[in-house]
Amino acid sequence: VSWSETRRIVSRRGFLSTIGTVAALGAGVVLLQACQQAAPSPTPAPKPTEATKLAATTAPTTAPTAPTAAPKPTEALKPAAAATPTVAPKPAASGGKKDANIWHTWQVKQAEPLVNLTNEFNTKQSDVNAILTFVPSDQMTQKIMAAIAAGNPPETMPGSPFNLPAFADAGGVKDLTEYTKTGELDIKDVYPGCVNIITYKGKVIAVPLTVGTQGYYMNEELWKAAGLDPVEKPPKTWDDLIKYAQALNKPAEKQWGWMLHNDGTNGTSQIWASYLMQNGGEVLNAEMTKATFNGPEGVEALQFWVDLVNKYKVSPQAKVAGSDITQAYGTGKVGFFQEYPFYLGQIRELKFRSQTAPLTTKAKPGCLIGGWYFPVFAKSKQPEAGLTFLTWMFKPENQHRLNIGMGNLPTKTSTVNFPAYQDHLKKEPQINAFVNQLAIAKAWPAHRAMPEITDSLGQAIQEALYMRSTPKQALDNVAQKTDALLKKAQ
Amino acid sequence: VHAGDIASLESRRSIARQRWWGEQTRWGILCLLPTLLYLLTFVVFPVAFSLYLSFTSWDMVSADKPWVGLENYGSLLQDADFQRALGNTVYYSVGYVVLVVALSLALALLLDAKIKGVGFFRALYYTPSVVSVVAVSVVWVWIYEPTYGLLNAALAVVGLTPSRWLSDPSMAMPGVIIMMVWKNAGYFMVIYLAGLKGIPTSLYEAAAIDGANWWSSFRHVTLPLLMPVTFFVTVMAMINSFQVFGPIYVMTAGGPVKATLVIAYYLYQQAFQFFRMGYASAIAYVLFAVILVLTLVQTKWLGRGVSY
Repeated sequence: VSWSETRRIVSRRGFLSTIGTVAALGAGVVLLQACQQAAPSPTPAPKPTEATKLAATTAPTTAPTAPTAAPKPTEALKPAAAATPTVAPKPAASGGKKDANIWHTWQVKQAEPLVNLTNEFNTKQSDVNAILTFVPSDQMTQKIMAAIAAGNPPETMPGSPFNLPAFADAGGVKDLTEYTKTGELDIKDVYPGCVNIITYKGKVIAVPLTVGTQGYYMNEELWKAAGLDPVEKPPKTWDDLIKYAQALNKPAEKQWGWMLHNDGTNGTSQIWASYLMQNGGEVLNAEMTKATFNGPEGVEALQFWVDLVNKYKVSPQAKVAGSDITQAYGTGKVGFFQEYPFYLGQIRELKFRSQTAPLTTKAKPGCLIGGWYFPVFAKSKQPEAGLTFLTWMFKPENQHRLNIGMGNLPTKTSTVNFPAYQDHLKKEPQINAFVNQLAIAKAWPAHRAMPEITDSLGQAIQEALYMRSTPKQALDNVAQKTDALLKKAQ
Repeated sequence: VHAGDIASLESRRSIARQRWWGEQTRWGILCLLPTLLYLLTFVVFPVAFSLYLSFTSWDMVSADKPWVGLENYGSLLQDADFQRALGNTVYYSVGYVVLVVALSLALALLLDAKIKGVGFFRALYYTPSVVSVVAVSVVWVWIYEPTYGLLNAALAVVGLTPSRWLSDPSMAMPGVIIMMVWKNAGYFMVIYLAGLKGIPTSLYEAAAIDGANWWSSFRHVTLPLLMPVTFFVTVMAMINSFQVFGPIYVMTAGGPVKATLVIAYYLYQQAFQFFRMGYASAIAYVLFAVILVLTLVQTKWLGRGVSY
């Protein structure tokens, strides 16, 4: 069609009316968006008593017998798979229910307990409709930051000890302190390490649902072959660690005694921090104005690692991430390694039997605590609905099922002592090594500069393990950088 | 000046205006609108906004974007990690560009011959370039694995000393370069093949009559006439190399001991791990400036003799 023909086909009036229609549609969309954003939240926050009532009505009178009673996971996975993380929440599935959007990063199998419990929550009460959305873990931070900046975050999501302070400083999370006073969110028996993570600048900013301590995973066959007994005589001291690792180390057979985490990231500093703590060291001073990990305790703890790699040669001088360690352990060529409890599910699949043990003691017991802590985002559409979901999930009868399914640990003594969880501990005694450390486990300092500090610390540990600098030099360099970061953040 | 001349001039201007804003122009704009909107939203606006951010200390979450002037750029000058990242990027770039240009040209010369199954071999060498860099990187991590890896097993078979590859600070960057050269050589090979097809056979015939052997023909006919292609391949490879991120993210995380810390990875860390969006934006603009300068230098030096 030539241009002159086009001119005949499309008249000037036709052209103008097309433009007009497009403009009107565009303006309409913009107006709708504006109205949606400007509309005030019509629903008043429910009184604390409402949530308490809800809890009373939904709490089972007896311990749930088995997860089989829960709906099939595939049903709940549907909304998770269909929902797009960046779009606005869908309208409530049933009339009158408020939506609570929950983002999470857990893959299908690991997410099953959350999906099952969410389905149960949705069927057992009529106020809130919880919607799960999977977000790949490597995209979570970017997406949630963008959502907070855009004023459209989900009601809640699992936050790490690292990103909670950043969310709080930006005014992104709801202050939950009042709810802890009314008893609606009872944190009295939450383990101290978890309390430190959820308390930021005097305010409670998250609900601790699922955590992990660190322990040793030991290849029972290799230990017995080396004349060691991982059940009766697991390592108790740093000297034991050296002695046992040497006995298990067989370079000719490409067998490592111990495989240390050494990828130069915060993963490395997480594992090393437990030795800093065992030696009586602290990461920062109490005021969080100065690094203290470079004190004599820290230098000795890092020298201990350097010796394991370079003097005793029981661990490779290599870039080793957590996944490298678990994969190498799976080949049956690693005596033992240190990790969180999530790996317990995988060791059952291995061809050899494994045992677990709590971390060693030096000046005192020491273990870093990790885990997932759920903040309620202040700018979400229905923060109260999010809190209702979390308080329900936080109850021992629900929290224990979440953690059994995920392979993590509960966050409070009432859940650990819950009869069904005690039964689980009897059936799966290897978890005890991790559970028994909950009371002594400590958290990273709650400071927004910690992601950068721990990353730099990981790099310093790696530099020392590669003998590019002495432990003292490596830690002092990071301490200098840390002090500058802390000063800037004041 | 006569009044008639002025009227004529005005009339001509009016016609020109009408022509400029005629239906043809309006249709043109309407048809371009989707692309223009896309470019404005996803290219022009982010580029301009990140320039603004580079003068702030925005943390990605807060509504406030405190203006800090040139502080971010000043900090970069004193940032040892940034300087190391810049040095590593140049190292990667030089190694990658030289090797990928040489290998892709060599492959193109081999596969320009009229041999049986040439199509199969072209497809074979091109295949790695269409595979996701993440998938390829994961595979190569296992190939390079010091204790159980395929490469060390192969070296042991022929009696060579195994290397620690990605675990060795001096071998990690060469390891990444080798993998990326292997991955992308096929892509540039196709461009070289197109260039080789464009060289008239009469020139080779004339060279043969003059007594030129294969090397002389290559040196005095093929290579000079491929200069425009070499120029294009070099510039593209150089630009890509300065933006390298995927293999570093998957294979080394910038380590060991920062041996593979490159600018794009450092930028990612600052922006999305430490939430220093202003600082990351400043890094992005320095990266942009470096690439711009290098491209201009290449255009000036290499661009001179590229056409015949």
